[in-house]
Amino acid sequence: MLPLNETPEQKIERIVDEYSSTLLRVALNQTSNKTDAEDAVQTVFLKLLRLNPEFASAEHEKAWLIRVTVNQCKDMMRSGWNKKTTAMDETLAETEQDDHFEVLNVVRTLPEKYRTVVYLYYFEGYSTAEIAALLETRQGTVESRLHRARAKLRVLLEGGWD
Amino acid sequence: MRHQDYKDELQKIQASEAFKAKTKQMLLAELETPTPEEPAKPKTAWFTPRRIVATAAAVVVLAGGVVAVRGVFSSLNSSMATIQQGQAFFNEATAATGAASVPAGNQPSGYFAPQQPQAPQQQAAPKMAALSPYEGMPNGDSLPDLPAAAQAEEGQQKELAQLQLDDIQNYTNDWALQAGEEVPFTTLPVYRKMLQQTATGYVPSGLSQQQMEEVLYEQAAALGLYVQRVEPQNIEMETGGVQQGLYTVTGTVAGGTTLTVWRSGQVQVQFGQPVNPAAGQAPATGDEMQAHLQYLQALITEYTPLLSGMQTPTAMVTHQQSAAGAQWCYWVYDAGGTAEGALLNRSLAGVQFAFNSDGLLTELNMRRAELLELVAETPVLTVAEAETILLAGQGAALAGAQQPPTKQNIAKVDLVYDDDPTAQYIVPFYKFYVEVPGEESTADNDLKTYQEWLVPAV
Repeated sequence: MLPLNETPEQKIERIVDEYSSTLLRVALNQTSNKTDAEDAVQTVFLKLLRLNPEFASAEHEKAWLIRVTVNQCKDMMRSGWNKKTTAMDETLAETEQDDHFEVLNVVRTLPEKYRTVVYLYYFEGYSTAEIAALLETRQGTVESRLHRARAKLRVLLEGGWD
Repeated sequence: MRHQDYKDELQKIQASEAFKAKTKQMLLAELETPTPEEPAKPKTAWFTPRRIVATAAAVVVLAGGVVAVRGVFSSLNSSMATIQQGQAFFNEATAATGAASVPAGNQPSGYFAPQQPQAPQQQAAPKMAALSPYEGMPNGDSLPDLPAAAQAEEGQQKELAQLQLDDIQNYTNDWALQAGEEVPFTTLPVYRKMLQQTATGYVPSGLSQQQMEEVLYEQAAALGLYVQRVEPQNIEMETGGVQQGLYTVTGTVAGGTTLTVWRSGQVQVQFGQPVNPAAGQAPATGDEMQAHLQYLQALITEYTPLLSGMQTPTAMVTHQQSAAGAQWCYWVYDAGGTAEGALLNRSLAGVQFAFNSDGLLTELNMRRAELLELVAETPVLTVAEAETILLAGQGAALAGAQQPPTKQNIAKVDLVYDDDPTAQYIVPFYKFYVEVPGEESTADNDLKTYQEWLVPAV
């Protein structure tokens, strides 16, 4: 349920607290380093503020933010803003000193189109139809990508994905 | 299960408090900046704030009804030219309706005419430049590389398809052939994309902002949506100095519905709340193809204003079965006009209806052939000639190369326009489906493995 009569200041407080981590994960899934990911997330919040779209629900708001983040990252990748590729362990070294991202690093070796559907399906729990809507593509395409991604992950993880 | 590890690892990624504080500060500063210009106003008076409207006058009787129900392969996403691997198969059916009619004054301009958004309606084929005998590409280039070759350079991997043999055998359409048949074309157009894609980045070109807004309002009108606000989006690219370009125009409708127009003229409608069409909820995934096809025909009737640029709206339903379950895709394209135009539309241009798991409409994607310029009208190889080329080892496998194709293993051939996004030209190809012996599915589902091979048709 979205709050009623929210002031812009309250909205900023809420969306940043509520969605920063989610969008950072989305962006890190798309881009290759933390700086780019954070830039993307901030840009997306700015777009939300400027466009001020009306959302029917919190789920819709979240979906919109994820979609715009994916697109923002694609634009950045196209634009040459993407500076370097680093392993997730290194990317997050500043804040996650003790953590390792074994599976995540394997997933990140997949092509971007596969990473995205894997993330949205397995982490966010979207259906393939919902992912198709999010990514502006067809359900069949999403299903195909998901299927291929699983097959690749089974090989890369030596049979252990499902 | 490693996907649980994946989730656990992702869960560890949290935005730092410092990042949140910095972001809030930046956003609060943004609040103090001047407000952007006032939103654009609707251009005509008859827009209404209704959501989905199918007026009685706009609904037509389907004169043709179900013309054919066919099992065919999808060639819609031929740019990626991928078909499902593993436990997957496609079922697809098409059905042409009678020509749709729309009351006077309620007709969006010809959206499906690839060249001109405001072109006269009823033009299925792209705008034709002066024809000339095919003498290779202008500037003396040879024909474009096969998509497979181009994609191989990008490191993309193609996978083999496992399909039901029945689907192969039942596969017929205007351009797919039974054994011994030939295509009904002696020549086919080759097009050059007018949208520019450079090596350093994508610099959008195509429709102007005014044209994009016109398309937006036309589509909103066709849906009975009242556009409250229009917002252009620009992108900047740093390669070779900062380049700026108009990217999309998005119209916002009450309730969170948005209409986004790209410079190619492609339109996406995302409904703020899922819509229950007058035709009812989409059939369940387990229902028969016929139920899905009839449902899509009902949608064609209901959404006639949206499809009014089409001479012969034709329903095409794709069924995709995989380990994750069944998925149905609803696609409407214009099979009217010339056969060449219909072939292009089937491959590249049409309207997709997307539903959620509750059978409610969540999105419309209206895809047009990119702005195309006719390069030449080129002689078409016969299927036999293409088959000879294939068997001589000069075809391109869309999946990882397996055994060389043999005549006995060719299950079906299709004629498609390929939309490789990296290619400058759009060229027709013969797509051969070649059975790979010894790769039958181990599951009890009659799936066999087929490999796609492309041979240029011109």
